[in-house]
This record gives sequence, C-alpha cells and structure tokens, in this order.
Amino acid sequence: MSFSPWEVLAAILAYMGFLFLVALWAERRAKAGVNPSNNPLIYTLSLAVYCTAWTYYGSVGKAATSGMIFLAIYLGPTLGMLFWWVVLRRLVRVKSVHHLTSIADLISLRYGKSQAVGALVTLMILVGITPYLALQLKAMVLTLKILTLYQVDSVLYRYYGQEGSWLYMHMGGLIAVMMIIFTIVFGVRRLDPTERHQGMVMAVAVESVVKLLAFLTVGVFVTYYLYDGFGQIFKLFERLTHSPHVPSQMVTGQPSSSYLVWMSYLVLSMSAVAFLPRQFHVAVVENFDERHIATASWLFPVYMLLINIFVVPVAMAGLLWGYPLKEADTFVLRLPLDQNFPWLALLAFLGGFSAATAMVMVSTMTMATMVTNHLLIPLLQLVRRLNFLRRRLLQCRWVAVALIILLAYWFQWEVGWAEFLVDMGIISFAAILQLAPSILGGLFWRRGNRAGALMGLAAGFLVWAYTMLFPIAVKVKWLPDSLLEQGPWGLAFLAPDHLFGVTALDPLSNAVFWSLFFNLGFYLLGSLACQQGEQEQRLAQEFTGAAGLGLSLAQVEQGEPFIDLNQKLAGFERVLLDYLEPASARKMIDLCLGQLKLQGLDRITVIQLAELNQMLENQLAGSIGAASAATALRRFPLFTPEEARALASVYAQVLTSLRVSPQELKRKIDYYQEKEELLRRESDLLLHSKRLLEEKLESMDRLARSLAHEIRNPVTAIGGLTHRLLRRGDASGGDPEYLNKILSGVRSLERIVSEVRAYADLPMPVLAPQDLGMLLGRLGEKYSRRAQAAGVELTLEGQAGQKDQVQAWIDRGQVEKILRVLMDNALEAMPQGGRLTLGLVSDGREASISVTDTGVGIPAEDLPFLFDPLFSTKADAVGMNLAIAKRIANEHRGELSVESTPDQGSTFRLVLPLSPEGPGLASHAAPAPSREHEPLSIT
Amino acid sequence: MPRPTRKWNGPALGVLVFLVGLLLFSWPFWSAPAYRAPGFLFVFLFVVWIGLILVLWLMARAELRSSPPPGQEED
Repeated sequence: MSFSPWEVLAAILAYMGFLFLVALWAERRAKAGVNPSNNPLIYTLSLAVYCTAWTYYGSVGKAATSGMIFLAIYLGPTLGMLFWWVVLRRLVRVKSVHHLTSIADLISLRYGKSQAVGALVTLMILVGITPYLALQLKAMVLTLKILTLYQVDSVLYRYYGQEGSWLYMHMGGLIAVMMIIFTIVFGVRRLDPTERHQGMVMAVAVESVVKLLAFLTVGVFVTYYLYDGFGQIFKLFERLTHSPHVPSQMVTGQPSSSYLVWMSYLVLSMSAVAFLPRQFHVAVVENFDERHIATASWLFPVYMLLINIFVVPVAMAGLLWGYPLKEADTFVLRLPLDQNFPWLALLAFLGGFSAATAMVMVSTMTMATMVTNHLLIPLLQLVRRLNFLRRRLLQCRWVAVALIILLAYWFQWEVGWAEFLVDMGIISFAAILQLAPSILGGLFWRRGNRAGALMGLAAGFLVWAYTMLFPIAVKVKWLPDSLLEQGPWGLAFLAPDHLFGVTALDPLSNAVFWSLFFNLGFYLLGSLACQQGEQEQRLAQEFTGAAGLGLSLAQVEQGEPFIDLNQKLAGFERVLLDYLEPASARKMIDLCLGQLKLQGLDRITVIQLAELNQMLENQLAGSIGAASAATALRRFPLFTPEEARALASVYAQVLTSLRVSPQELKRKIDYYQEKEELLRRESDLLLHSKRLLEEKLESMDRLARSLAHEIRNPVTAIGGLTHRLLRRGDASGGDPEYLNKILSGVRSLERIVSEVRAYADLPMPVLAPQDLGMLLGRLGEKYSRRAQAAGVELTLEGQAGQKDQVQAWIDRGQVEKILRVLMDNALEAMPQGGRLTLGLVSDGREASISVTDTGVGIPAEDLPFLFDPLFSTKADAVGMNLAIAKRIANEHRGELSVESTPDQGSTFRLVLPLSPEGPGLASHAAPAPSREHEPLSIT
Repeated sequence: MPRPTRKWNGPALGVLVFLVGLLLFSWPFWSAPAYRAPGFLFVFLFVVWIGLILVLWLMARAELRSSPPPGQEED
C-alpha cells in the first residue's frame, strides 16, 4: 500500500496548519505576558533545528557508507557545549545591548559597524548555505516520491509510477512554493524590531519533538520488531562483514585518512552548532534568559544522542535487507514500507519533513534578514532612486525569502542529481567555519580589527569556494575534469583537492585546513598591521569586556566584591572635603556606609559602589545643591575601565532580564521621571495649601483671642457699672428690670468670651502613657452619685474599669475634659432617667471609648453642625464644649464622632491611637508618670 | 543526591573535560584492533557520550546555582 500524492499533501497541510495554530497560540500568550517560548525545554528543542533532513536521512546513509563517522557531527557539538556557558552567554549579552538580529550583524558590529564586513558575511552565508537548503528540498522531494510511488516488487524495491503525472513533474517546484509560503507565514509576517519570533520558535520546538518521536518509532520498529534488539542486528551484521556488498568501513571506518575526516567533522560541527545562521538565531537572537544556555548545554546533547541511537541499527538492517548502498539515505522510509506499515512510513516522512521545514524556515528567515539589512539597505543608501523601497522592507524580505528558496531549488535542480549532494551539509559547515576566527577573535582578542576581519573572511571564503565548490562544478561538468586532475593551467600544485601539492589530506580535510589557514593567517596579519578607528576600539573593548577582562563574569553576577572600598572612600572624602568640614564629611560617609550596610567591609561589588556614589551625591546635594553635587562627584574618577565594564555587564544583564531595548528602557525612565515630577509638584501644591490653611487657622485663633480680649474688657466694665446702678437703687433714675436684663446679657457675653478664649488658647497635648481602663473607671466612679440622683443607671463595658488592659499615649487632662463634656451631655439628655454606658475596646492599635445614653437623642438636621463652634440646641449653652472636645480629639490624631436616633439616644465615640504617631506628637511626648494602682469600685 | 560543589564550574574544568573527551573520541584510540567489533565500538562511543552528558549536567547545575534568576535567593 502506498499513499496518493494528494493524500500526502493533505497530511502535510494539516500538519503545517497545526503548527501554525501552535505558533499563533504562542504569540498570543506572549502578548498576554506569558511567553511559553521563554522556557529552557523549548529553547533546547528549538536548538534541535540543528538536526535537519541530513541528520534524519543522511546519518543512516553515512553510517551505511562510512561507519561511525557520522557520529562526529554530534559529538563535536557535545564537546563544544563545554564552552557554551562562556561563549554563548557573552553573545547573548552583546545581543541584549545592541539588539543584534543575525550573525552578520554581530560581526559587522564588532568590526566598527562595518557595512563591508556585514555584506561580505551575508554573501558568504548565502553561497555557503544554499547547498544545504538544496539538500533539504531534495530530501523532501525524494521522500515524497518514495512515499507516494513506492511499490514492493518481489524482493527488490523500486518506485514506480505516475512519473508522467503533473504532480510528479512539478513536485519540486510545489515544495519550493510551499516552503516560501510557510517561511513567510511563520517567520516574516511582520517586521519585529527585536527579531524575535516566539511563534516560530514554538513551532520549531514541536517539529523537533515530532522528528525525534518519528525516528525513535522507526528505530524501535526496526530493532525490536524486525529483529530481536541491538545484539541480534550486530551479530547478524558481523556474519556479513565479508559480504561483497557490505563495506568494511561500516565496521571500523575508512582505514585511510579517516582520522583526519573524523577530526574535521568534530571541528566543523563544533563551530556549526553555534555559528550556522539558524543556530545563531535560535540560540542567541531568540534567547530570553541566559540561564537557558546552561540547561541546553546538557539537554541538547541528550536530544542528539536519542535521535542517533537507532541510526546504526537502521543502517545495518537496510544493508541486511539487501538495499543498495547508494540509496542508504532512504532506509528510514523503505523499511516500514517494505514491511507494509504505511502509516509508520507516513510518520517517518512527517518526521523528515519536520526536520527539513524547520531548517528551511529558520535559515531562510534569518538569511532574508541579512540580505535586506546588509545588502539591500546599503544599496538603498547608495542609490537614491530606490529610496521608495525603504518603506517596503517587509515586502523586500518576502522577495528575499522567495529568491533564497528559489536559488536553493535551482541548485538542487542543477546539481541534485549528483549523488554527493548528501554531503552538501558538510560543505556548508566548512563555509560557516570561516566565520569562527572573526567571531571568536572579536570576542576574546581586543586587537582584532576590521581590516583583519575583511582579509581573513575574504581569504577563507575564496579558498573554501575553490577547494569545495570547484570540485562540485567539475563533477557536474561546469568545469573541465582537468582542473582536478592537473590543476588550473596545468599547475598541479594548485589542484583544488590537493592544494599546494599536499596529497596526504582527503578533500574535506584539505579544504578545512587550507581555508582556515588562510583565514586565520590574514585575520592576524590584517589585525596586527592595521590600526583600529576610535569607534572600532570602543566596540572592541566592549565586546572583549562584555564579561570583563581578567574579571570573571561570575564575580559580577554573584555580587562577589572585588573593589577596594578604602581606596574609594579616600577618593570620596577628598571630594567632600572641598565642601565640608572633615568631621561632617566623615559623618556623611559613615551615614551612607551604615545605610548600605557596608561598614567593616574591605571589598565591595560594582553595584554597591554605584549605590554608594548615588547616596553620597544625594547627601551632598542637601548641602550644595543637586547639580553642584553631581559635578563635584563627577570630578572623582569613580570607575576604573575594568569596573565600568563590569557595570556595563550588569546593565546588560538587567536589560536581558527586563527584555526591553535600551531605548525603550530610557523612554520608560523618562515617563516615570515625568510622572514623579508631576507628583512632586502636586505634593508641593498640597503642602503649600496646608501651610496656608494652618496660617489661616492660626490667624483665626489670634483673631478670636484678640476679639475675646477686646470684648471682655468693655463687657466687664458694663457689668461693673450695671451692678453699681443696681446698688444705688433708683438714684440714677434707671429701671431695675432693664438693669437686670443688661446684667444677664453681660454674664452671657462673659461666658461666650471665656469659652471662645478656652477654645482659641487650647494648649497642645502633652502625651504620656495612661491606663485608659482605669481612667474610665475613675470617671465612672465620680459620676456614679450624680447618675444615681438623676435616676440613671451607669454601667461600664468592655475594658473600661479594667487595670493594665489598654495603655495609650494621651494628655490625661484633655481627654478627661472630653469625657466630662460627653458624660454631662448624656446626663442632661436623660432628664427622666435612663441608662448611661461607658465602653472601652482596643484592637492593639487604637482605643475606642464610647459614651452611650438612652436619652432624647439629637435631631438628624443638627448632627452635621454638632461639633461647630457656638452651635447649641440649648438656650442657655454657648455651644463651645463639643467643638473643644473635637479639637482635642484631633490634636491627639484621634476622631470624635456621634450616632444618634431621636427619642432613643446617642452614642459618642472617641477613637484614640495607642502610641504617639508622627513627629508632631512625638515631640510633645512626656516621660511616663508613675502609675496609680487604686482599687476600682462603683456603687 | 549530593549537592554539586563550585568545582563543577569554571573554565579550567571545561578545558580539562574537553581534552579528555577529545582523547576518548579520537580515532586512533578506538580504531585499535581490540575495538573493531561493531557492537563494541557502538557501545563505547555511546557510553563515553553519556558520561560527557553527565559531566555537562553537573557543570550546568553548578552554573545555575551560582547565578540564580533575578529576585530569587540562592538555595
């Protein structure tokens, strides 16, 4: 049984639709603030884009033809992972600071933001990766044909078919178009300034899971269903080692020059796993948290181990089954098809398809970014006529995606028939190795410069092209065979396969050795011979110091102190002594050291030094103003270059954690600074209003006092004279009744004046701890007789009357005055008798004293004015007592309130804080008096 | 499980493990006649690989412990 092409296409579209939904889900979650791609497992799975169709199908092919040598492609990265924590983390930090978008961006930035370097790297990558992309397209076309056209013909296998059908004829083109659409949909839908694609990363991670599961399923099927496990396969295979169709290298590898090939594979794969454009993109550009690198450094090798564990059994099984060696790449599909397991074959196909599409999508997307940024935009800057394209960058990227995939399709069309296409991956690895000297040199060697990078890259690229691409051109007959056999123009020592007459090297080792030799040589030569520009120098320092020279990044991260505090303090003191007395300067430093808990330390971290500097500046600003303080401290060279680099690294970490660009961070800081300024102004305005109000109240008090004084004197005089007239009888001719009325009015005025003066002259409370329970108990005792006489039942509630239960900082006399006013009012409100309850409760922060009567109550319309001065419902009252009580309560930072129901009674509630609050009150606090411990008895 | 100590991180250990790994994965070492049986070669390479992954795991664990995420105390 085989599938029709349309069935397979439907399965592909359904699978890609599912991936698209996954990508959309990830993007929406990220927008909602929960980014599922920010996860070490997803990060690791996205790195598995390293395992392409070349791994999926090619490893089995390589194992069948060359033995265990395929494993070097995965052992190299595992060894390289030992340095990822150092190298990749540094790259991630540089990316966070500079918003790098691609590996070309990294190299051009390091070498003075050179457009020439960026363009060269982009060209190298474009040429170097095209064969690799072609390999993926070829794998997809080939496996699709096998799955749809394959039929078992006795013991032989072959695929037949509808080879003349339209679909068969256009399968390659169709797949290329599909890849263009998928790449744009998943990775280039919009322009993202951060060049992060959470959705695509998630889709790639899912594809990594699918390809792993698919390969493991096929491996288990072959090893444990077709055979009885590894042991049986190895045993059966050993019997066939002398069989003419089983190569001896399957056992031990090629005897000649295998060691060099093995080592070349190790070196190439070590560089490829980090510097291939797609690897750089998922590992660096898409990195959210550098801690994920540590997890990936062991988890990714686990992934590679798992996906390779069944490679050898599948290769051996294919050979045992009698499949021809030259078609070993297809064993993964053919074994299930031959056993009539079409669904397993479909799963295997989808696994391979996942491997290929993930690689094509990520590689093409990042290459399109490089093409637009490093080739197109410089061109637009040169050619003004093309300026309109600047606003069409997204569309330009789409065109770039299409051109890159079509170029790969053309390559596989032209060269794909050649059986060596399976080795295209390693040719691309060799191209990417040419970037390693410039990247690693740029990160760790400060003298590496633009001239060196340009010379090294160009030389390495030319030698790579000559030694790796020219032989291909010969094999596809673009160039004459004599080039390989006799060298160009008959110069044998220039033959691409054996450059300079070195015949001991195999073609791959020859290309790797000579390209790296020239690359490294010219890089060193150019860097040593030419000078760096100022900008390049600064960037070189920044790159090489991203982790600090001679200063371990871990030290900064762990906050390990490395700065001599005493040396810094001496510098600070010198600055302060220009403005302050020695004692004041010392005191200021000690204050800052104390607040930052740095006393007694010899060494501090760069962050602590920055905090100390800031705090000293703030302190000094209090003496000489902010601007002068900043200028003064700026004169002191606070950070050495090494410390400045460490601080920059810390800021880079902060930016990484915040996931914002430096510009965005600055905008946010500006916004909050503006907001803070507005709040400060508002606060100043409020303070100003408060001061005005206080002044107004103070002047009202003064006015009241003056008025009371001025009124009191004439009123006293009028009262005295009226008394005299009354004593003289009618000698003066005055009517005694009128005189008595005048006298009554004078007495009333005298009371008003006296109470207004008492209100205006109310002293600030002098606070001391008092036992409120005892205070209320004594008050109740004092009022008990009067209450009894009025027919009022007086009771205490809660903690009232209880000793040592509620302690509060109060002015005892003033609070007692409030309570007397409230008790008097309550008794007056119950002329027919009733019940008066004195209550006290506390919640540990405040005490609430309540005075409740069952009297006549207060009309609702009077309640809002009850605490206003000179308001009274009684004819003979002045109406100042409750106003005074309210003011005393306020001066205690307390609250006096009332609830009343006419004819049912009223409850006055006085709430007081237990401890003195704020400096205003604390300054009035008096020493605690000795407590009285008198027994309480109310009768 | 014993807590990994700080000796599991640092570049020196990385270089040492790299060199040991390179030696164990080197062609002359395992292309000796004694290793020619395909099963043995296969097992040897994968066992060394697993050992290398274990070392990487210990190193990563030590690195993660020495650089906790922002706002999280080191345990």
